Amino acid sequence: MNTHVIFMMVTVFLITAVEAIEMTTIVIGVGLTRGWFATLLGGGVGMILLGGAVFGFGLLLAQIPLNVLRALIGILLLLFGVQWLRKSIYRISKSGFWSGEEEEEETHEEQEDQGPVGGLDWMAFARGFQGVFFEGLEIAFVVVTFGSGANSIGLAGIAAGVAFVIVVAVAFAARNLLTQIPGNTLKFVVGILLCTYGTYWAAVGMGSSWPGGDVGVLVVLGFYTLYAFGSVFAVRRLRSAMTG
Amino acid sequence: MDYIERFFVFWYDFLFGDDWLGAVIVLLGFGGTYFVAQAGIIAFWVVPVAVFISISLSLWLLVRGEG
Repeated sequence: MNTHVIFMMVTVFLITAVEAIEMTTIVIGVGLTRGWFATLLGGGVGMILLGGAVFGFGLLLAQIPLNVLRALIGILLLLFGVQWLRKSIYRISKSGFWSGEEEEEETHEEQEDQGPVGGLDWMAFARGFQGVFFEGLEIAFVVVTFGSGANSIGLAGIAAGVAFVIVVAVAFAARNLLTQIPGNTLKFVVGILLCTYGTYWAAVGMGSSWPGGDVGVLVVLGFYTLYAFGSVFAVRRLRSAMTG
Repeated sequence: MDYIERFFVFWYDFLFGDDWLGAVIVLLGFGGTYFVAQAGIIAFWVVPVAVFISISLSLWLLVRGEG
């Protein structure tokens, strides 16, 4: 197993951990407030549909030439990574590296709308389904794309599976621990990694070569790391200058 | 919102989020990489420059909006 694959597995592990934290936060939050049966039923249906979507997505990717696939993966990862990095830089510049994540999603909205209808709480079902399916879709996307790009889809799946099991186990064993994880810092690190891989693969897929071959990944990583820390500092300076 | 609509909203949020301008700058960086590479010029620097511009511009707009 070379350095490139280990680096890929660490990245998949971290991204999956972030998404799994969001997924379990939604499921546990809805389960505690609306009841477990409908929530877990919705989550279960979401998981089954997710399996079908991943299977179809994997078959589709297998038909695409490797360079086109790498360019496509690079573009998707970078668009995703730029968002995470930008948001985490902004939040960290406001509240520091050890702050919890400011969750912007509508995790608990609509929960007071209506009670159980016809025996099953459809609101809890829908929220459980959405939490599992859409957060799971992001995990599946990361596993399939990272795994395909590095020709190690099995190892990417193992890294994601380990991260998922750890997060879910911790979440159900000690729910309060989830709120102690510095979500912004985790997204900051993952954002840097996503930007690094996205940049590297997209450039390779589009016919550009990197100085030093695979070592180019480390150069990109260094660039984005310096840029991210520098941006936190710059945004703090800019904010204090604007507020006088 | 039905699930088909939710699916498309998911992909829009996934790719563009709340900053479509930043995403467009990154996409222009990819296009630039392709054309520079096709012209036989070293092109690995184009995307990092696009990311630098995209995030820096977005952060500047966010901080300016706070006031």
